[in-house]
Amino acid sequence: MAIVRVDEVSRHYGEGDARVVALDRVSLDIERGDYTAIMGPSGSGKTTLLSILGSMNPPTDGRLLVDDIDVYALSQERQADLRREYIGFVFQQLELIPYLSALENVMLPLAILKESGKRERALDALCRVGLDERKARRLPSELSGGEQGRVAIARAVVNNPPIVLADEPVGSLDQTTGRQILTLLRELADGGHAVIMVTHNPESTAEVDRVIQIRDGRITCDERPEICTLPEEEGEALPVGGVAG
Amino acid sequence: MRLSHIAFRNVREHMSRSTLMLLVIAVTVAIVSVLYLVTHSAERDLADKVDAYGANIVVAPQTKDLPLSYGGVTLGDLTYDVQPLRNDDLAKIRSIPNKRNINRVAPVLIEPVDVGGTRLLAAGVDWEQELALKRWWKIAGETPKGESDLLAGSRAARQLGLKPGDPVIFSGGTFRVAGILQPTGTQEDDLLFISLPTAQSVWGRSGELSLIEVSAFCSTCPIEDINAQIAVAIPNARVSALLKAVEGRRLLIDQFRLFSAVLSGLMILVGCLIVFSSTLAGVRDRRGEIGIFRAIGYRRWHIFSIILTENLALAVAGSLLGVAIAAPIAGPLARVVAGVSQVSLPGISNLGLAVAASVGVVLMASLYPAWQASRLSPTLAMREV
Repeated sequence: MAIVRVDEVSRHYGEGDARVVALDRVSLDIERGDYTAIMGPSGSGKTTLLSILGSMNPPTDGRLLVDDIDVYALSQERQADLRREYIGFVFQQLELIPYLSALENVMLPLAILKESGKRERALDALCRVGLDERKARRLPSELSGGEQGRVAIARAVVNNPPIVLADEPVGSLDQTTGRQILTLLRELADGGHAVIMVTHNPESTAEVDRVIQIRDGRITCDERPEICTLPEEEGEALPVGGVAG
Repeated sequence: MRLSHIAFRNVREHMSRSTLMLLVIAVTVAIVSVLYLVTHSAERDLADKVDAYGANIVVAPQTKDLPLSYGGVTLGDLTYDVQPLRNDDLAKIRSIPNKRNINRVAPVLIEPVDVGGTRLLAAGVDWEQELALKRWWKIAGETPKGESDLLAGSRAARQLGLKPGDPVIFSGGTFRVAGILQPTGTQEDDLLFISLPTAQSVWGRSGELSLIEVSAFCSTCPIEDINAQIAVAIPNARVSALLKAVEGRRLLIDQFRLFSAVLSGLMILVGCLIVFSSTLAGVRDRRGEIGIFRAIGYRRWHIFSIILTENLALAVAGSLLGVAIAAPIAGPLARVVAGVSQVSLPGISNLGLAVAASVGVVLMASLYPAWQASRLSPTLAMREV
């Protein structure tokens, strides 16, 4: 069973003449262990899709099922619980809280839980991304870009969620650091997480299993990366598999 | 790590905003506390001064009157069964349950006298009590204090042609005019005042009193209670509160209290507005951060409690600082500004109440910004969606 099922999802913004169709009847399934890249030009709808997948932006039509739960049929508070339980986020600018140490940033998703061993779990998550206790005590500003990226990933997986969403995770990083982060995301997928990454950079898709191309709110390609990341004209001409609508 | 940890770290991180809030809370609490202490002390002081200024209770003998008429002609009232007051009654008044509220007890014995063919009323009084009670009296000449001293009301002195030092003879006694009372506009202008023991002796009315004027401090005890207690202590007396004095006092104190309440209310309002706007601005600055909290699974209540915890910490620290500032300066300020002789210092429970009240007010002012924060969308953590 797919951990994520997007079922005929549409998202419109505005009304009348100002109406913009960000997503148009998109459907897709994502399995545990999938490493998926969502690609497309600016304004194509890929970030809207990611926010809908993240249980943060209700679609105008259609359904999102996570572990067979109809996410947007839940109350907002239950949606927050579902995000905590099922989804880990790696944001574009990494978005670490500047006044909290690396360890405290990783512990953020655990702060609202009434259970012991939070510190140990956070240290373990940091250890898995290659950061030791000494680095854990530092503020984000005292860490390199790569280390900050690792902290962001550790924060995303500290709850061991089945889904990890990454929004342009290497967009603000240098090439070497970016490659390290992409490798870490690959390792998460190998560990059984469904990793979904939004990117506009074809180079970021080198290690992914699958690329979903979006244009004008529609899926135009859903294939292996070597097929979907061809130059634009060729990509458009391809017969696509899994095209929505 | 708990939510409070995030709140405390955020307070530390945004030091300038936190310091501003802390100072606003501290200054507001300090000013309101000082105002309260000064007005409370001044209120007590003023109440006591007003109460001490003349009598507010009069104790007179209980009498029975019978209206008389004959053949349709009214012959006046027949007064009978008069039970005069006695010197012993003074001690009874001073021993009522609320004896601490009794300030002055001034006995008076009144008798008509004939001074060289002129009929006047003379009053035997206790000089010390009477002069302390009638603080508005202005005397030309000496203040009377001796057994043979006489104080003449202004009209009586004019009628008899008296001046300080003159001898006056009536009721078989010879008196010396110690002073002339300047016009008061009351019946006192027509009286001749002599010492009470002398009056009782020369009029053959040993131990007898016509009335007793009482000045009682009513700020901590209603005058009706004191009245009732005196009535129980002296069952044969008629005890009356001088409502004009009581109402005057109440009016003055109420005005004073209202002024202080309005001033405190304005201070609290300004403090609230600063806390409100500062918290709201802080929430707006942290929209992205709050979006991240929401995105990683924080419920609205979690965001709400983070914002409230931040302001709670500042409120407790600010209130303690404010009270610490107010406590040492309230006393000297009350003496200098309000001329209060005795300052009521706050107890621990009052300090605790001040801290609790200010914390409550700060939390009230923070409710809307915290609610706004809790309604922010998790999409704020993401790029433009």
